[in-house]
Amino acid sequence: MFDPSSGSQTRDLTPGILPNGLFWTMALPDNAFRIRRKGRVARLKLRNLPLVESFQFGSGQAIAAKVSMDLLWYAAGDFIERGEGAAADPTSPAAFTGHFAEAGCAGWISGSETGFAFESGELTAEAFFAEMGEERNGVFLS
Amino acid sequence: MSANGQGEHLSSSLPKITRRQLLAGAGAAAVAGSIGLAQPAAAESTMRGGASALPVPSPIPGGIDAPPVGFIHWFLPGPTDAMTPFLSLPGFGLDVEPSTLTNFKGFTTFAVISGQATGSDGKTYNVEFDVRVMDGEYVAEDGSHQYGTFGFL
Repeated sequence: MFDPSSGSQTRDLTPGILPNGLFWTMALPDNAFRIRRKGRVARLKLRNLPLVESFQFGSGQAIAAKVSMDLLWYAAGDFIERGEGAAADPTSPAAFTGHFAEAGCAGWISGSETGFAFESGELTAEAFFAEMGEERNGVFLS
Repeated sequence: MSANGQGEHLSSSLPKITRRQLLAGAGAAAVAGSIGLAQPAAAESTMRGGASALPVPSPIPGGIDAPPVGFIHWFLPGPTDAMTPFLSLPGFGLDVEPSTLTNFKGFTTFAVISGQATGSDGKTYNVEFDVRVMDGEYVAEDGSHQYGTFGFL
């Protein structure tokens, strides 16, 4: 979250970083994510998911927080082959292979922590980018 | 110390830890025992149909340097001529890994969503969220094959 007058970041809600380096990624509750229409529609619904509030990226601070969200992805085009698979260096951003469609995404997010809560209006991916599709990487490339 | 509606102090119902127990170094075990977290004789003894968790996935090997955190296992798919609206991060391109898990095969969604949110302080904030879901098979850090759904939030 950013203060609109200063542009400064005021909130940073994430799952944290695991000791093995897994970045801001966590297991989701059963039934939180649904894929429909042969992968052309997907929905994520989370309620009171516990996260860590660090206020700013890399601040070192951490307090308990929780978020809820309801997001819908919908494919806006054809599925196109992406990635270079095993031909790419394993550390390359292209070290995967998949079929992705550019997508729209819309929904809302709310959150709360001690002393603060927020609720969004409709959020969309229109200002940047969204995509969805099947992929494989790592050992699944061989 | 707190009190219930009948005027009784609830602290009187809590287990008592003596100063002697703490100073003797048995305090940790005594406290753990008093709040129901006694050391199990074996790992299996804690799994009485209660807590369970998916084995940990491994992160993608690549990533970027992101001060002050350091190296992060993350890439940002998106057009190279586009930037996220508030963090102003440039897209890395479209042949860019959206997953944060390696040894993964499945369905992935990615979006940077943005807009505004109203805070409990009455202020309106600009918000930007990078949200991803990885749903499918993965080889966990322990080498086991698993199925799960993970969110990058």
